[in-house]
Amino acid sequence: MNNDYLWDRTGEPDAEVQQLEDVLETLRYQPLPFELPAAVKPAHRSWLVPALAIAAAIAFMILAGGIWLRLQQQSRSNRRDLAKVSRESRTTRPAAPDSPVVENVSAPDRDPDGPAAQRNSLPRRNRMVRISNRNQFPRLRNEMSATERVEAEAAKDQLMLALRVVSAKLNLAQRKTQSIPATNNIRNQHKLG
Amino acid sequence: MYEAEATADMLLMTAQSAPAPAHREAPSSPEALLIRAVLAGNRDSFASLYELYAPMVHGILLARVPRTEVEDLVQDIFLHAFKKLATLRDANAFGGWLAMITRNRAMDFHRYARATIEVKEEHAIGDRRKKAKAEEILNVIRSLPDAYRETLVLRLVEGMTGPEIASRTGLTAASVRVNLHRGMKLLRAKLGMQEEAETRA
Repeated sequence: MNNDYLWDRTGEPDAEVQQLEDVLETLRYQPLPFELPAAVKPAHRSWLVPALAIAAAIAFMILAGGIWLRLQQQSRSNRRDLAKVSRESRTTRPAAPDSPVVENVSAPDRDPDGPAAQRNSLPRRNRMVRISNRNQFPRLRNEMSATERVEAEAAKDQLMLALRVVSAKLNLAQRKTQSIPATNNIRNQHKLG
Repeated sequence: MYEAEATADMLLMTAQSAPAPAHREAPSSPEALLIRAVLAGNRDSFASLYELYAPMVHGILLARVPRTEVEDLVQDIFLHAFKKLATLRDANAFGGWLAMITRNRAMDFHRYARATIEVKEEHAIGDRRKKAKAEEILNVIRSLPDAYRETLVLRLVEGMTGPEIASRTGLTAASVRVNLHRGMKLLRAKLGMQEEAETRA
């Protein structure tokens, strides 16, 4: 056995390889003329598909960027609205800040000077000031310090407490009208905060 | 489709031996010059490429598809290669590109082909026996792993040497040498040649 003969037909011939070559050469390629049809031409490389792919990728990126910017703006405007609400609640806070908030927010039937009434009773000049503040939201938002944020949170908590009180009162009234015995308020105090 | 698959496969197979991109564009091989001529409009140059590469395409097909289908497929593959020649990025890699097109076409043949029966050709008795024996050996070669059968058919049927196989198919000389020796060892074992030699000794 000679490996060089198998590799490049040099060296001592390998009898087995020669025998196989002799038998298998009957299947060897027989040259045939190859004629190209006249109508057939080599197709030129098209740049259309890659160009379209690049354009589609750029368009997709622009679209994605637009959506992202839009979402960012929305979240900013939400934060602005929150700041506005907290600021307004501060400006419309009653003169005596030590009085319980429940008194101001709940029981509109007992309090003729409810929030709507308070808003309407504000001097016209004051209302104009609040409207003009709308144009200054970016500045307000930027200027909102940590203490203001804490105040806003406190205002939110007060509002939630007031709503819970109103809800409890409405429940009580409903039960009374339907002759259902009142629930134990002590046991359910956690609902009132 | 075939040329895209061929390009992808070639990148995988010849990644280690591929020359630097700067050298790729240089039309160093005669094949590259012929391809430039074909793309410039000289259709006769493609006939030269056909003469050079038809045995390789024939051998690769013979290792994979029925013998009666091989001639038609050779023509089809060259026609396809002519149409898609402009998509070949590296003219020096024409052999590997064409080999991959051929392998993919052979796979497609098995994917879509209906059952076929090989028609026996009429020959003289001696020829017939030799051809039958050749068919028998070819079937044994076809039962070997892909890499071995292709290299063995190119060497034993088409009469190409190892370096020729490497240069035509785009494979490295080392892998062709390994495939040849391992394939030959397997073939000997399957044909019982080693046992015969041992009993003779």
